[in-house]
Amino acid sequence: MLRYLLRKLLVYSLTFVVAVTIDWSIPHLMPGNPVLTLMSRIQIQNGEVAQHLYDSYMRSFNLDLPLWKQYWFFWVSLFHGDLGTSIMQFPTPVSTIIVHAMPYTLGLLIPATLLSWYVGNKLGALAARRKVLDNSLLPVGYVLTATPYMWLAILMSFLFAVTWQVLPVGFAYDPTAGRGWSLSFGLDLFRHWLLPFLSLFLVSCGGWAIGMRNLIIYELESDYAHYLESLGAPRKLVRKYAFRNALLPQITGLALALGAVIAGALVTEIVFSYPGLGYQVYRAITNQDYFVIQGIFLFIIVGVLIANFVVDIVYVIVDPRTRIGMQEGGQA
Amino acid sequence: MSAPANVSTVREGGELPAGAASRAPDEEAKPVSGLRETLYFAVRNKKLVFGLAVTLSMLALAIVGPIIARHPPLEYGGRLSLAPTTHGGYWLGTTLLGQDVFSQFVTGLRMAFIVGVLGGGIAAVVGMVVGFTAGYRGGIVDELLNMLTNVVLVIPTFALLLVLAAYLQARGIVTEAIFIGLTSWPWAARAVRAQTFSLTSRDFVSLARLSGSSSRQIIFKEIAPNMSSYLFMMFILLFGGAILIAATLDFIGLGPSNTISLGMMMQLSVQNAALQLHLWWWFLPPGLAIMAIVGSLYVMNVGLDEVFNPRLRSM
Amino acid sequence: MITRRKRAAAGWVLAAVGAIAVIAAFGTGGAGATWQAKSYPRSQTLITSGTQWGNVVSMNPFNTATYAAGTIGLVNETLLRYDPLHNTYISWLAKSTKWTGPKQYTVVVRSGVTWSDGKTLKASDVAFNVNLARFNTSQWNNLYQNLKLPIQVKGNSVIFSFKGTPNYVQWQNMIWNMPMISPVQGKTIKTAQELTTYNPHNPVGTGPYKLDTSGYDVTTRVVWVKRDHWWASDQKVAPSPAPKYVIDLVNTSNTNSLAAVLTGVEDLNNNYLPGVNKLVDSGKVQTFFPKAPYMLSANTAWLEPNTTKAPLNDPVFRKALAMSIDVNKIVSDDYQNLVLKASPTGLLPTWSKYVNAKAVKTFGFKHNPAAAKSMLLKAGYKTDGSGMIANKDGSKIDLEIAVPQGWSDWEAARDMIIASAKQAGIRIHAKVKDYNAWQSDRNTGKFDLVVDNAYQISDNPWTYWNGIFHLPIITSGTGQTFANFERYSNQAAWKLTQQLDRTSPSETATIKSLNNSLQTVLMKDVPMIPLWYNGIWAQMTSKYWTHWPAATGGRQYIPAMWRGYLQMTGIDTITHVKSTRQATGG
Repeated sequence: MLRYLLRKLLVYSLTFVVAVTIDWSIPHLMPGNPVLTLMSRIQIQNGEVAQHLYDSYMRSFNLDLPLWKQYWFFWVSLFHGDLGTSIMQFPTPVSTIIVHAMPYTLGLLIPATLLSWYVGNKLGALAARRKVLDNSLLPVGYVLTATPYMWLAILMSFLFAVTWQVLPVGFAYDPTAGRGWSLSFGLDLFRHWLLPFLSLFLVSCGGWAIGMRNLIIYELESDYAHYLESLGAPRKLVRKYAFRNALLPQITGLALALGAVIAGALVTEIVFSYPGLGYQVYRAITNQDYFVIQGIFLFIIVGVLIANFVVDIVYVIVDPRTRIGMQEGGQA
Repeated sequence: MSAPANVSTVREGGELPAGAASRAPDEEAKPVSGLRETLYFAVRNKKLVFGLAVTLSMLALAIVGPIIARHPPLEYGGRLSLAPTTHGGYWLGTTLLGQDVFSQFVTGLRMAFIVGVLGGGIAAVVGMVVGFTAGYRGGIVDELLNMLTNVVLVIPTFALLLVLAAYLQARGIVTEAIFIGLTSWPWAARAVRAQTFSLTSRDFVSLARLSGSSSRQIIFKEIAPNMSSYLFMMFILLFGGAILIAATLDFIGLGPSNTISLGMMMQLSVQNAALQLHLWWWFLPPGLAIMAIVGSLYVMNVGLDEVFNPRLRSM
Repeated sequence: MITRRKRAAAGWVLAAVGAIAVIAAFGTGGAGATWQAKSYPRSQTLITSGTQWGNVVSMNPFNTATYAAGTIGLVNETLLRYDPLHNTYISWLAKSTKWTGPKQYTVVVRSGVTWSDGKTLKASDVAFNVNLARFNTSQWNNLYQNLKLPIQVKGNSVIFSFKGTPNYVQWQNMIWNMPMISPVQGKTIKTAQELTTYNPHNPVGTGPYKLDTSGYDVTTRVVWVKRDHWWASDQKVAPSPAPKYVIDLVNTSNTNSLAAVLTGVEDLNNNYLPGVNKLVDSGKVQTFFPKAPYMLSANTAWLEPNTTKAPLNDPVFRKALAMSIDVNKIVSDDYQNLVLKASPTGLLPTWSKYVNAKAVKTFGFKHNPAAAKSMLLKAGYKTDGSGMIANKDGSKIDLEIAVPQGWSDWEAARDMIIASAKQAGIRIHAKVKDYNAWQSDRNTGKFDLVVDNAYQISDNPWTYWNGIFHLPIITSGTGQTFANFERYSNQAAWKLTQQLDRTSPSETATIKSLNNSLQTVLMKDVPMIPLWYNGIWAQMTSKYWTHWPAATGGRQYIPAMWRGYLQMTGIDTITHVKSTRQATGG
């Protein structure tokens, strides 16, 4: 078990190094020069002055060093928790930007992912149980899971914010709100959070429901289920086992889902101008702020890796079969 | 952000690979009682027929639409912000700048199918190659390929596309499809690996190995045919996934640069305040079309599953 | 089973609530939970947006690309202000400014001005600020190098003596653009680099507002709160601004900005919002002009030809190209008449007094594709098999045009340029480049044609000429240039531009003749092709605030929070708005 974990850890570390290297190379492989973008926003009439300022910025971003040195410094500063400096938001550290935006994204992602997983699986299990539900819920599930995140977001924004004007769009709270621990501010946050949350939740929910429904049907048609039934086990018990077994692959799916939900969160945040990481990275993309892009992606890489690792461990704990299988696979 | 590559994974993560993983592969070790029987059940499966009908009618529109459209999709010709009308061929109205929405829509539809087939196809091929090799060889090869899969899964695909976008002068739909294909295969590889893994230990594979067949022969002659229906279904899901990923990329402005797509239509409509100006004919059709195509593909997939897998037909 | 499920469900709900609480925790009230949070009363709050792309991170008034909207104007003020609509300077922190000799400039500092930390503004504070230009990262460093040091301070006066002929134009421009920061805070700036990284947590200024630190949120907004006393209203130089708070929001998408304006979330929005003309026409939104062009003009959008490449190195070809472009279509279809077509001189409407109508008549160009084509044929250009214009040696012409990818209004303009040039037989194709590649190629001369708008409205057309005629074409180690992107080499024109910079404002005849000569060169040689004037985008709603600036009536101010615009007459917009709720006590 420990050997298995250690090996996993090694694989994950290697993956981390490779992924981070790719991530690092983004700003450095790009043609053009991000400092020029910054320069173009400062109205400078004198060429010499512009040159001085340009040189100063180049030094600030270490862009005047040879590439290998830049790569080395990148790792050094990474271990000091330094993700670099934003170009467009000079001289703000990228980590500051992440810290400010992260709560919004996590506040969307975690409830949307977990709740959709929970509700979706429940609905899927229900659908597998009753023909009527199967025929009504399933089509809805398919429609939802096939909907592009941003389109659902656009649609909801059009209906709730533009046509009926019952919910706000843009920002995480009302511009006139004073921030602090209060019920009114909490409600305000909730109202701004609801639409982005719903568009993430609904799309994911559809996917989980369909997945669970199909898995249970597989399980119910499997040999052990038939065997149990032939032994005269109550149908309820058989279904319970089917649900338990079907849940396992859904747990793996949860880790895999994370990356996708992040993409969903990105476009959702864009549509609703919700100031999370997705919106930040989008702004950075449109402004070619490579260090912000790099930093946020790094953050996501780490998040996805950790989530995968956790699920690996959870899976081993929950399903003893894998434990044996993995050890055999390792010895082979 | 591995995200877009995973859009498919979320959905199918719960759907196909998982469902299939728990399914005993030997059900297919014995070929289903002939093609005729499959066909018999196929035409009687409502899900399959419905899914196929919707997909094919969208495909027909994608083929015929651009031919019957009266205006080039990118031409600024018509009256500005025209509601749908029969006059002048602006059947779906015009954009804020006077472009023909119908023409853009059907062109976008065509692009969606190209991305789906090409992107889904490439992803399926890469996923199969990696999955077969990893599952059959096992050991260190498996470990290395697993790592590669993980890297692709977690690297920020958007970021890669960003670099690519800067280098490729004109980004076409084909480039985008290839890109999607090369980044969205990980879950497919994992699923194929799992299947191969369990098939490899079966008697008929051991037999083939003993008779001196090469690995490649075993994979293509023994293993792949035994999971052909599975692979086909995987392709369908990758197809739908590719369309969704393309829509996401296009929406954030990383799409093709020399044409119009459904995702770009959504992007442009949002950029040009179509919501506030109530130009619903601009932003509703592209999303509806994606929903129809991808949704019907998924429905078709379940239908196919029931056809290929006799035990499920009772439902 | 059921109870367990219920409990599980309750757990999930709790988790969700917890997650919301995590966000809520982000608000740093610190005073403990209450039912009703302190919020900014809407009737006393002016909400603006349209300046801040990305997070609000900088209070450094020297970083003119990122400082929070209002840093210059609401907090840090300038010695003078400039009113482009009436072409006058407004004495501000300076009671008066004057050229007191051929090489001497005297600023008399206004008395009774207090910093927000309670100190009084002194002449030495002004000298301190000008001395910051000694760092070579200051945009005024070249002017500083021409100063005799030390700067003399006598009583309320600061006297600047110049070594050589002063750059009158640039100096004047500096005087109304240089922010006055508190020396107490500014003394931390000790190196050139520190000038770029200077970022006070709570900037001390002389202006009517100060930062409200509790409301300031990097991702969302900056909140300015009114000071009890502001010298300008105390001294009756300007009305006391009615809004107690000014909140500037970061930009959202066009769609959401428009929604914010329509639902009364924002009072003033300075984004380009496509289609806003419809909402103006239906009375939902207000603009400076009630009809087209709706907006005042901010800068000239032009087509930059690479004048070092054939056939674009030929003035005849460039002029034919200029004649082939149907700018009217761009203005009416692409911009829905939200912009104005540019004059052949490209001089902004505010500089119209410098336009020489006779020269325009003689040398200007009009849209006429047929004439353009025949002009080219007459000049010796051939036609190729498809009837398109070919080089004089018969080789094919296929020019490349680039705009930054995703700038949808420019992309539409690009397509219209391509289509209309085709009418004149000029073959152009679009080349897609993302912003960085577009910019880098522009700066290093790897382009045929680009649409561009580099220079903003100012107090003197010199800034415009400098952008066009600047020499040498700066090519440092990186091969970059910061002006004259069309790489137009005309020593005579550059000399005239420099001469204009060094002409004392009193020599009006010389100034006029220099501007005449420069616009003649521009129209004859067409180093760049003026297309349209981008607007000072400003849409206003009167749900909470009225008395907005307008073309007619006494409030001809610029309704913009943009960087550099508050010290024009943007601040007057804020000091003149009136609350709609004032009568009822708000």
